[in-house]
Amino acid sequence: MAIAEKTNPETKARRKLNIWDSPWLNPKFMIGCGIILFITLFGLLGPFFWDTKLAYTASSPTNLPPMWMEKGSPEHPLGTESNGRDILASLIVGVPSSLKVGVLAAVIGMGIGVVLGSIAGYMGGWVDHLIRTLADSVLIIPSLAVLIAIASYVQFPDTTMLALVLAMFAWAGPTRLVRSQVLTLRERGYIRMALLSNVPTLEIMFSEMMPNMLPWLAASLAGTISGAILAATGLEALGLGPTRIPSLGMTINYAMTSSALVRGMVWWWLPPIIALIIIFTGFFMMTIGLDEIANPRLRGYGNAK
Amino acid sequence: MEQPILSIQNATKLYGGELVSSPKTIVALDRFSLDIYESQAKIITIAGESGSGKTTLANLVLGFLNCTSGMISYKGIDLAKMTRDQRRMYRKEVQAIFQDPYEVYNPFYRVSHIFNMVVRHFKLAKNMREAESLIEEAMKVVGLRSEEILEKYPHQLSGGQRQRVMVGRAYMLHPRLIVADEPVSAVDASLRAMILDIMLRLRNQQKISFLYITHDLSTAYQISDAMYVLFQGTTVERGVTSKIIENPKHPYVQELIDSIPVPDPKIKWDTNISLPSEEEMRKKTSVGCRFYPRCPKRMDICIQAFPEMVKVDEDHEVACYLYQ
Amino acid sequence: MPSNHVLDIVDLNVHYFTPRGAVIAANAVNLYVKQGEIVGLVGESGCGKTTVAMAILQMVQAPGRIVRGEIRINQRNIVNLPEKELRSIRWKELALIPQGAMNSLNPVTRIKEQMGDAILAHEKITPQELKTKILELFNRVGLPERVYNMYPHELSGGMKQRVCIAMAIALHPSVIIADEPTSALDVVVQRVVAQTLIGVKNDLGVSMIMIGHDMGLQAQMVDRVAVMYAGNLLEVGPVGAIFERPYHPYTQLLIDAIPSVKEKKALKVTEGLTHDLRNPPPGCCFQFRCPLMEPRCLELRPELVEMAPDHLVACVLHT
Repeated sequence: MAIAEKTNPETKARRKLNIWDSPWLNPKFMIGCGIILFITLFGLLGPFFWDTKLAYTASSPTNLPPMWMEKGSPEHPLGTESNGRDILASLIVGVPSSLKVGVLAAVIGMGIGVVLGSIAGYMGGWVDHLIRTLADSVLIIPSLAVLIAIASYVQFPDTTMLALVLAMFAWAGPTRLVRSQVLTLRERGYIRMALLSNVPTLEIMFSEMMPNMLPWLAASLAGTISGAILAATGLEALGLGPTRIPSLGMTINYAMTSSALVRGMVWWWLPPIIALIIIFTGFFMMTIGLDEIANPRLRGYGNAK
Repeated sequence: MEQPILSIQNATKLYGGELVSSPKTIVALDRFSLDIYESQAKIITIAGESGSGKTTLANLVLGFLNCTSGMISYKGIDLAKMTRDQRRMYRKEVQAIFQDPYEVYNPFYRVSHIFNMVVRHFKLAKNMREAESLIEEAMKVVGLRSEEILEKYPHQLSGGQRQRVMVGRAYMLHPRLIVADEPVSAVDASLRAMILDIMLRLRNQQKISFLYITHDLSTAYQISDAMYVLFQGTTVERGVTSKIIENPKHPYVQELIDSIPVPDPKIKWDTNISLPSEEEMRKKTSVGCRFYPRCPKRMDICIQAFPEMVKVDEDHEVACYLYQ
Repeated sequence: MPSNHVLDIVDLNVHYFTPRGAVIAANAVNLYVKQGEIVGLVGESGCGKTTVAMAILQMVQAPGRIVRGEIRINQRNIVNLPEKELRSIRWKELALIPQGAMNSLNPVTRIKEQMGDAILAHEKITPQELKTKILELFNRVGLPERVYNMYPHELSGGMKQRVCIAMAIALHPSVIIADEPTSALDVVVQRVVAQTLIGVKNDLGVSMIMIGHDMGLQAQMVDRVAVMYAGNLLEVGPVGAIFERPYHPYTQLLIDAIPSVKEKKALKVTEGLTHDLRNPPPGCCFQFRCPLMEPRCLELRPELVEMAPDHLVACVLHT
């Protein structure tokens, strides 16, 4: 039965537009990715353009205002703070530090969450009960309070330790969410087909279910990273984070302890906050863009019915 | 005496009955029995409305559920006691086609994924070329061209094409039995013949038996050899399809056949029927005939105990006190 | 235009503008519905029947658009009317029972509230009058009074469908569009729902468009049948005439495809929609599947021609 479809150049040109139909090219998602990419490059490439040693104490003259105010100098465009740190350098060092903590904590937390959530959702029974109870118990604990308690006792040597401790709390939410996703997907017709095709359980979970959860997992990951960065920054701002590297939170902490607010040193406390806002906005845009991608879209044009 | 290849003996499925969570017991399927023999490939219809237990039966035969009592055995082995290897053999020889031709596809993969899954996990081919020719053959059997279908995504095909691909998949395993759960209900009335025709060919040429589960008696009449009519889990009439349809004995079956719209505007439904306003809740198995609330010919004896199957003709039995 | 027409579809053309070309979903469709009659709209998936229904309700979603034509409700053209006026027409003069209507009931609201909302949006009546009216509607569709306080999930499929019918007739519309109202129901429930609809037509004089793909059901329910294929109206006429003497080969195909319980006949196998709706071939749209196709069929698109009183067909063989 011949299908009457002409393949003249016009049709071919229209077919090329096909890739723009791809659901991943959602504007909000793209903007979000763009922002995160920008801020990551800022942190990664910054050291090639600016001397990061200026981020350390007593490396620069103190209390210089930014260059557009009087007494400022182009050598320190964003000014310096009372310990002799250059603000711009602090940003260049601080942004990757915050991102690293967030990503590490989120990846580990989500990783555990995906594995446990999938097992709980798919297996059901006592395994499900066990994992659910564990996750619920962790969720109930007021994580910030406990983190503060831990941080007061233990001096975090570096950001990796901080990330691991944050991951200890970050896994519980994803576990519950992945579990409910798996419970939904488990009833789908194609899972039955896989069962009838003798596909082993592990492969069903990773080959059949996981790809359908991808946009949703990505959104969840973006959200978890934001949450981890927020928690880490919160701890650092309270002075409980690792003190060696001037992360964004630490800068805020120094600003607070040195009464920068009262002294009107806007250029000290504002830049790290703006950097954080940019980071959170970027992840937020990614999340809502991914939400749109993940939700069942209107069916495509090739569909019958 | 030939042993049946699939033997369902008094399969019963109950839900609920737990003390705290759901005290009311629901009888999804009540003592259903059926034997299928390998030497005679047959299309056997399991007919009934929603709630009749036909989907439960499909799930039991496919191994997605376990019987509360009774037994289903394949080649003499009890399904509930099969080892992993026996299960694998069972999965190869008993396949399924489902009602919704869209849901059964993983939207993430192309249509070819369906076949590749089967080839891989049942080790049907030693290399790519062999696999390709197997798939090619399966597609030909269902009247589709591989090059047009395999590389597409499920949403790009029509419902009829998707369903045919599913039949092709089932065929590729050369099963002995295919459980077809309402395979044409979601396909347009004018296109159903295509799929039913494939089923007939598979029976005639490949000697594959079918459990054709449906609520549509007219298609059952066209293609099936034997029929079991279910009502709220119980078997009310069984036997050769043509005899049941041409000469229905049970009042429920008569009502079903009367309700089929006759494609002749001069012959309308004669009476207006109404369903009882009290939707009968399923009770424990000790109550009598389930059709009592709706039966125009009911008698007092009907609620005392469930009627036994009575033979009214060669290969035609009915569970009704009217014929005791 | 005769004044007993409650609905006139005049030269309706609906296109869906996709990045890969315009899909012609409805192609110059002309159809009318008289007062107190049920017109069946029949065809396979993708033939355009739901598009026509949506066009009548002025609910064609982007990227679809009515590019030409008029829809007249009680002689009043509603195409391009402002939304405010359309809202007063919908439910009051024109009602819809959508496909899968039982799934369109709000699962967290009781039936009384859902029906109440629909009615109160158009009429100002007291709560007591509202309750009386709703119970009256239940009575008309054969639902027991207790449904008033129930939630949708407590009802069976047939009962939910009858709730949707009750909502559709609540404001005494002139026309009801029933889009496959029995498609998900068992055969006995289907009969009950069909008989309810016929009862509604007889008692209230409501006109209906019954959309479906099951010719058997059409034979039992409608007064006239309109057959569509690939966006085109191929044949329309009184139901008796259509079944007794179908002119169009496609109509014949649809009738032959109905399996019968009276006699065993060979299965009539037919292929589905075969051409791309973005690139309709010149000539008759049915040319790829027609068993009686001739060279003439590839040249001009046939117009609707009246073969018998009120019985029109668009086929090259009957010009």
